[in-house]
Amino acid sequence: MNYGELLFEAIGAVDDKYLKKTEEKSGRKPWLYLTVAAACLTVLVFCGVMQLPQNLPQPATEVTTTDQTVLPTETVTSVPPHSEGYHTNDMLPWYSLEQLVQESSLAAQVKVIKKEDLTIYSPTDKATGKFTDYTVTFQEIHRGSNAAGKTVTIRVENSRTYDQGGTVSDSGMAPLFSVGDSLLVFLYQPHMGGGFNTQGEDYFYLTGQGQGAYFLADQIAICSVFDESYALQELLSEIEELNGRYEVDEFWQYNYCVRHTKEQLETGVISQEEYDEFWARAEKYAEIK
Amino acid sequence: MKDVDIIRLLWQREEAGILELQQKYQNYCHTIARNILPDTSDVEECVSDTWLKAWTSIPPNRPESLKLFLARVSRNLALNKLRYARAEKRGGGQIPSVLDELSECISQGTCMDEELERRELQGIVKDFVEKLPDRERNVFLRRYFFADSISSIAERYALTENHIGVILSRVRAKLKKRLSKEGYL
Repeated sequence: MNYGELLFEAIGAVDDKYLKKTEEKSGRKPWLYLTVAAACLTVLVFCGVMQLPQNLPQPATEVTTTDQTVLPTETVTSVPPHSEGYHTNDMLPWYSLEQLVQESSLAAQVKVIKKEDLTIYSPTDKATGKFTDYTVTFQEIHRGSNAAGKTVTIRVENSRTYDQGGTVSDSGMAPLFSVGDSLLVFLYQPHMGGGFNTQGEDYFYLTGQGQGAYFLADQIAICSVFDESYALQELLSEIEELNGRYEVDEFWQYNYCVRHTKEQLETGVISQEEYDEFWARAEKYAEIK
Repeated sequence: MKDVDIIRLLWQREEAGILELQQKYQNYCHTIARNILPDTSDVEECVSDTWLKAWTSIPPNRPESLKLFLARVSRNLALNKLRYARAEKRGGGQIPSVLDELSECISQGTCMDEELERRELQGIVKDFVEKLPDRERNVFLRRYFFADSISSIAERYALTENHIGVILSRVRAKLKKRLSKEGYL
């Protein structure tokens, strides 16, 4: 007998409970993304920087223009009115490679060696987040300080639940990695508190969430969340070229936030009180439960 | 009609049970058979055999999930029919690529008692599938149990075809490693 057939036959013996689970369709509902994204866009235009996400400040153009491709990403089961404005991550715009490089302090080929789920409480957002910490070892560094051989943690948010009710989950932008995966990742560190940022510089976030991670297989890099694939060597050449144009700025995200809040204050988009409140929140750190 | 009512009719040996089965699950069983068999007449025959098999199996069986019971029956019948057809030609639908992909995971050179090998493999595969993360397991089973096309799996789970391809490739690599550990390579 053909061994493929033998294996196909053996797979026929799996339990019904697992077959039943396959019948469930994805919880992602495009119409809902659009509704949520539209709502968030409106809120953000009015509220400006005060509604920036706690750990991922976004360039002004992302929230004040509508000519970019906006990528709604999350299924919102129920979001209380007070928290709508915090969901900039719901509508991340498409990140070009140029943006990924510019905003990342590290770009590297890594291998996932460990994954661990954790729960973090954010006192500023009054919310509990479910995260996964992926421990990776660097194999080749393409941007940033030479960390070859070192081990770091990449933190990925999976869902959050607000104290007053409402859960944001099943983020289409949260990539799912397995131990042993080879990836090309673009990383940054927040260097500030607020939201779910914990104290210490022992973890990185993916720039542009899942857009900042590519699965590597047979010299092909496949975006972890979108239908994009590239020849790895070509991608690396482009990164090298972009490195020549953009110096590594380890504090890019933090500096952006400083610049942006200042601009918003100067142009009257936010009041002094709101400005102060934002930076007071940025000094508070979340706690791992 | 609800599944419990169909099963009750079959238990009462009412032929109306078969008609209800056909009405409710014709398309479902047809899709599974068509994913495996190349020939339309074979597919039709397989689906008809599925009703017969259900008639002769219920009772004494009372499946917890009628739908999955029929899926298994259709799949097994289609696989058997495929084996007969293989002497002249290979399978149709998704099955050539499905079997080729699975062949990568297991050695062609292993020579064991076939029945023993079947049972052993079933145990290993069951355990392997149970331990997979949910998303990987779902994608793996849609491809290698239901023989769904990559595009339909991508649509089902709202992921890209590339993403599905990557997930399948990773799970096959894991399965290969597991089978190798068990002495199949």
